[in-house]
Amino acid sequence: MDKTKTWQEFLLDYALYIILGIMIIGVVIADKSFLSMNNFLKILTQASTRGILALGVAGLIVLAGTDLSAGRVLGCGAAVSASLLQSMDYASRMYPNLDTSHPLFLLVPLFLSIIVCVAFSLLNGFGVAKLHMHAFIITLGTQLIAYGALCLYIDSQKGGAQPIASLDKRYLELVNGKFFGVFPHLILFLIICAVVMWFIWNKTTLGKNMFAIGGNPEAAAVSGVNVAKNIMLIYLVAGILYGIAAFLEAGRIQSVTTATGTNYDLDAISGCVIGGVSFSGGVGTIPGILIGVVILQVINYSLYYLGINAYLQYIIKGLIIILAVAIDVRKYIAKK
Amino acid sequence: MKAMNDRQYILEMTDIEKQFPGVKALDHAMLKLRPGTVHALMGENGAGKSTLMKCLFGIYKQDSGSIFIDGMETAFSGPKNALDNGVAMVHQELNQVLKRSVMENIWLGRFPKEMGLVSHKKMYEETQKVFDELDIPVNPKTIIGKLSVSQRQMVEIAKAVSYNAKILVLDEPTSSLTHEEVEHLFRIINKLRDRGVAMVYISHKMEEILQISDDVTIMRDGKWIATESAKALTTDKIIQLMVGRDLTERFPPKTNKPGEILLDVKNLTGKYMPSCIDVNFQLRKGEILGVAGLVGSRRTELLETIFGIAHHESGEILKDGKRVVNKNAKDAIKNGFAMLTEERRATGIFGGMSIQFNSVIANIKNYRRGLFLSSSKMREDTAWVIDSMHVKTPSQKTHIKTLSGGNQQKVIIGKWLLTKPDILLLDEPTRGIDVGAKYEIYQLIIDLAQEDKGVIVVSSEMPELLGICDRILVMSNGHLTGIVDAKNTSQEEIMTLAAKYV
Amino acid sequence: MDNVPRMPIFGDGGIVAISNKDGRKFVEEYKNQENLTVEELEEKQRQLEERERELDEKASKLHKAEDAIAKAKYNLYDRIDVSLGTMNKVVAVLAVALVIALVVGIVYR
Repeated sequence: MDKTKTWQEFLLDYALYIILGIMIIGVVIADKSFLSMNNFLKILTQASTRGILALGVAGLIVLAGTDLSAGRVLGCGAAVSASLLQSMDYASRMYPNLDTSHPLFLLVPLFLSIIVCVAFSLLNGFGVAKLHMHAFIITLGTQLIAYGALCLYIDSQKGGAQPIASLDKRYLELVNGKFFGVFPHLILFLIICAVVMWFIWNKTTLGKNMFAIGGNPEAAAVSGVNVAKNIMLIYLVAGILYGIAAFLEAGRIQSVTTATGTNYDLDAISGCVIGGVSFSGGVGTIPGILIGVVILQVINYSLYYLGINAYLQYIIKGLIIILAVAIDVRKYIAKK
Repeated sequence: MKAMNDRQYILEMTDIEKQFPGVKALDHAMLKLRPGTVHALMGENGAGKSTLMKCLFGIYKQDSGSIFIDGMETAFSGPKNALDNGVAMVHQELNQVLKRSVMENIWLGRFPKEMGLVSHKKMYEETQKVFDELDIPVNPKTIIGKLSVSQRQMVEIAKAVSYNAKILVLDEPTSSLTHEEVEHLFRIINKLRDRGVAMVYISHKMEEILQISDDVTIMRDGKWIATESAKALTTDKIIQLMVGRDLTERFPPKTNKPGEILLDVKNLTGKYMPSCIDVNFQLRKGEILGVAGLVGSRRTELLETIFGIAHHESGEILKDGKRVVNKNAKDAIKNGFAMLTEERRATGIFGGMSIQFNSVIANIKNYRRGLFLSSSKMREDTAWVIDSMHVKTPSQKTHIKTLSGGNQQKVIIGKWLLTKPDILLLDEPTRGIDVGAKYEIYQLIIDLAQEDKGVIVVSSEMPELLGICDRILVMSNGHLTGIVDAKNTSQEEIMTLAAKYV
Repeated sequence: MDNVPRMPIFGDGGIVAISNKDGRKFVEEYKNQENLTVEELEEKQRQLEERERELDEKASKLHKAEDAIAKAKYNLYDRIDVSLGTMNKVVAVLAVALVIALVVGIVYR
């Protein structure tokens, strides 16, 4: 139906961006330094690992599903990475006899982190693709399993449960270093992942199939697309991204506990929704996701900056998510 | 080795039998399709047309009988298998990924690749090629959800052609098309015919069928009835073959006699415009009152306001002389009203539920036995619905959405009858229902009137209203412009009244 | 009477064309044949065809709308039975709630 948008409809569709825009402008007015390149890079860096996670979750949302386990799974990956890369001269190292001196050894934890995360992801994928369970339910279950596994792993340390910390300097440098002292590695990793995902989403059969399945699984099936296989592959890709994000996050926060990863998935999903990935399925763009994640990070930062009560921040972030989805639903209904 | 003579039939389905529990869907069904022709397949809903097609595409496996394509016996494993072998179907409800582009939809499942990556350039070129051949004025890059239904249909046909389909099945292709769009579709069909594509054309629209097809096959009750050249047929003959009944008996004899005034509607005006405005009329016991009017005349709103699911601004309703106020459906049912909605699939049936559920749901409080529901009573009542409404179904537990439109409608009417209403409000009761089932519903309506109930029927089919009603209300843009006697009026008179406020 | 004016047409299962006020007048005038010239008759015929086309379109749009409703609900958002009006109110309320939360947060630091 061709309807020229009235200004009211425009207002409703962009309500979220308008409100957030005003808030950010307010912050900038209050403190000009907020707008500095330094600050900007800082925000981007903080957003990087969340961004990589979001790139993974996004695929699942495009499939008209979700992933509530992403955060805990990341926690597991992070724990594995950190535990293998503790500084060799650290007394309460988790694997005291592990020789991590070889330079290439840094890649092993990355690899293992990916394997761990992929395992959980494929479990989710199996439930969705073969058992036709709703993503919400299976990832809810996986979330608990991952949390349990994480706790067990951290508990298994010789001295009992303690944060896995004091990480290898090379690892920390790899993750937190900056090119020419200015451009953080993390941002580069995010960019690389984003470019690769962009390719997958837009240039490969897998990507096209993903959008088709998310948009109309019946049409995809009737056209000969192996729906189950493609769903599993998307979950596999998500798992790989989780693994990478986990490896980097452990290096970034430099200390992994059982709480690592809590609610990361909410941030990832919020970022996706703000970035235009629709829960109705079949809709989403890579640039959109990046923008959404960055905006979310800016919001986080602004709220903290404005000194708003930490608990109220939860309420505000919750409202933002609900508002973003409501606008998405509204747009969908308006089109009918 | 190619045979010396050109194969006469590109598709031969012979002696096809298919039995479902309790229902014989196909009984020695037959279809023979010549290449480069349009072959219409007609029959009432439940005649077996779609079952026969499903056997062709491998969705069902027939119990016995054979399918020959180009002289070779075939049994497809599924629609994709059929498609790969040149047998395609354009469904009535197009299965497309609405948010993606036209070209992506067409090449879904077989994207053209260049060095391992999907080549948008090739997709575009190949798509444009097919569109040019068929003279389809659509941009391959458009998001398919933005196109009109007729354009989406043309894309679907192009998709089939791109699979080099030799046999194309079109299922009710013109149900949502305007006159011009139908003409365009026919131009494409003619082009395909010239190319030698054989087409099966499933439709209820007789004028179109006579216009576009070469041959016509008629089925009834799963059996092959006749195959004739379209030139030798007329609408009357087709109906006769389809229904097995003489055309002149399109409507059952009216045996109802209107009696005393049952319902008195005074100055009824709906609350949320657009709706009915200042409507006055009376309904008698045993009377069938029709409501005629153009699209948009607010006839549905009138029924909804009387039934109470739409609020009224002013006016009142008297039943048996006493004022009744229907604030919602529950009140209406309690006051002896029943309403059959226009869009049964959306608001009339619980598609995912059984016939039993759908039958008893309106009457549910009558089955309370203590804390529980009496399942024996529910079964009994459902049996009554199935029996008296002549619903064709293997069992009470069958899901209602598997029934044909006509049978669904009968279940809904039966459901309402269980609440023992005095007044029935029927909104387009025979829409989307085949000729034979329509007759049965007309008979039902007349039977109801004979039991001294009052029936109000909204319909867009003038012959229907003139055939079964006693009097006819005519509405125009919410106003009641006239009440005419069915026996003494004409279509022109009703039309004039219907156009008064346009 | 060669130029028999086209009366409104009833298509398969419904009224397809209307005779609005002008058309009706046209019918009455036709009954007094002498008052009309051939050109006027043709003009009226063209007008009627135009109206017929318009109504055809309206009918098809309604068909489309029906189809949209009647098609099986195949994704999550299709199960939502809320009207646009209600949704607009929901979005508005949420937006206001967000603004209030922000303001409260800033004021009561």
